[in-house]
Amino acid sequence: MTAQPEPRGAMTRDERFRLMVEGVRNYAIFMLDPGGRIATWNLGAERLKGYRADEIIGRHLSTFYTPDAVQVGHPDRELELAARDGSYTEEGWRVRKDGSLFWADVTITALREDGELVGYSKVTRDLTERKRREEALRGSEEKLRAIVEASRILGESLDYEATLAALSRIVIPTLADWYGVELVDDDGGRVMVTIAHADPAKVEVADQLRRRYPPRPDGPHGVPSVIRTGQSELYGDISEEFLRAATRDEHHYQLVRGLGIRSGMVVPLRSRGRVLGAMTLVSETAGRYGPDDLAFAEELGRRAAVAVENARLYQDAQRAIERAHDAIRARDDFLQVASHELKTPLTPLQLQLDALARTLDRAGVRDERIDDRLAVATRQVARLGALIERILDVSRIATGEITLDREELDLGGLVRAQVERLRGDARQAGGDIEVRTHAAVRGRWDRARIEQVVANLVGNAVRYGNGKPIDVTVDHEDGVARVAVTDRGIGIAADAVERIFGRYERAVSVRHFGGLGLGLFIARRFAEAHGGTIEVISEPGVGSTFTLVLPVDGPAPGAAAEATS
Amino acid sequence: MTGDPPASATVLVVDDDVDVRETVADALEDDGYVVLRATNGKDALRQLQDGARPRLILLDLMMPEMDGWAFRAEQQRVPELAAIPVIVFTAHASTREAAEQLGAAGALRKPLRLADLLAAVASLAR
Repeated sequence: MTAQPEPRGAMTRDERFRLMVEGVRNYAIFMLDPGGRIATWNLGAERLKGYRADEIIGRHLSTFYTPDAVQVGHPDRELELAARDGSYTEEGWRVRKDGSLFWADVTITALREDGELVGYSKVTRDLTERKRREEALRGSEEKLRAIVEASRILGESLDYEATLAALSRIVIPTLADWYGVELVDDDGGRVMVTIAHADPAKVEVADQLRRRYPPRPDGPHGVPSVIRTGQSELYGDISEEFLRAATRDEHHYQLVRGLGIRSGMVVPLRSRGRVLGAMTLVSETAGRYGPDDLAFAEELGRRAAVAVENARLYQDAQRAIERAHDAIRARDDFLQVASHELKTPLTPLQLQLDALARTLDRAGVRDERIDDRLAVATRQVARLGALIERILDVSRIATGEITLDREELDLGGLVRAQVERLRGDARQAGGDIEVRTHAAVRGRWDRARIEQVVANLVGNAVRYGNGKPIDVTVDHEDGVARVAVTDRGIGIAADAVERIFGRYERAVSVRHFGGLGLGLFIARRFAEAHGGTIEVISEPGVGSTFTLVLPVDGPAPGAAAEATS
Repeated sequence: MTGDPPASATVLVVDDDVDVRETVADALEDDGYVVLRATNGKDALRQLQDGARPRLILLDLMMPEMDGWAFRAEQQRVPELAAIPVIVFTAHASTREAAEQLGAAGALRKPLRLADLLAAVASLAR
């Protein structure tokens, strides 16, 4: 390495400095005279601003400013501030020779000799790229915020027409001047859900336009074609020629032109492969939208479509539920009428049987064989009546219309009476039933319903009890009455215990044990209607204990009936 | 069980079903009552307006033209008629509740036994 040789000749320090400045390529560095006219020009200035030295030297600083800035006296103001404070720095838009704008970082320094202002130096950097990145970042932040906010609004309500209209709040004015949504209705027609602009007068014009010149479904541009094809459309710069071609006559053209639309995007509202409609974003600034904006609009469109789809699915589901409810109501109404009709003939039938018995009695021809036959007929009438009643019970339970007819009852007495009715069956099966009553258990309950529950539990014990002894205990503790029915029969598998309380369910096959399979279902609902329940403990092969649990404190006497849900 | 009803004990049986009406009426006649028959509330009301004064009314609830509830409302508007006790007899689910609402003297649930019918009638018509 050798030392840098001294430049040849008598080059002064100033001279060397001047050469260095002239060679700087990335900074515009030049001097101004005290009046603001350009005195020197470097390579960087030529590159940045596009003027050669011979074109620009002698011209005023304001050449580089936008007409707006010049009009308000901005260039002179900068010089004044530099002169006053020594220097002035700012960032702002400047104009190149070709008229294009660039974002400049500018420092102007006042040059003084012996305190007297002799001119200014000006150093300018082009920060357009950085500025663009910042703006793009801010733009994408804005869009992200808009997407988040849009999702919130769309999720607020199932009234999708209202939420779609509410989206205008987040797109106008930051992302668009105009916002509109059209949906395809069930018949394939199009429904304008919303059209919005910051200025209501403009919306009025747009509405008039729509009425006067309704868009054609086969139109080649915009909403019709987006709904048809499902493809987004981006109009970066909407020229007057384009408007003229897209309008039908001079009046149409003038109206559309009056809307001031300069760029726009139309995106499909697509969900599950179907186009539900289209969303339109329009700006009054030319070149406002690019691919990033289109991606944003498409995302907004997707979210709007999902919201519309969800709301429609919800409405469909609601309608289906209503239809199902109507069908259930119709069925229950039918059951009420049918069971009334079925019961009506039982009344004369039973009365005739009783009258027949009395007639035979009076004629003195009654004997044991006749008694048995009349007893069977009477039992069958009662059985038919009970079956009809069970069907009615199920329908009342389904509609939540169990009405309790409460009265003061002695539970022990009630249980004993029911057991006596079934004792014959138990003995026939080979076992017997033992009832133990601990003290008097009294409460206000619906006699018929509690009789039915007890008869069901004891009847099941007889039926599934394998002919072994059955124990029934009645007691009460802490305001709760209990009737426990224990058999030593086939028992119930653990996974079937809950199932036996279901409608039409039984834990064993229908072939071996008949009946409607409604007994426990109804029994538990009746217990629940009283604020109680039925508990079950069971072990296959060992037996089962079913316990009716009833609160003793019913409602005050006088409140004879109460509905349950 | 029933004892001997007074000769003048008249019972009005109101039911639209001919078999129910006639079976009940026959059973009561068999037991010594005088029985008037009405096919619905309107028919029953007309007989009362024409001067019939039964000791007791046996009233079905679900009937065409004028049902048991409507008949009861009409009956209670005239004090002289309102004094006649009514036994509601119906296949309706909550018979007792219906009887309470109607201010009836008794309630019989269909299908019913002859003994229960005669006992209920005797307790009020005797």
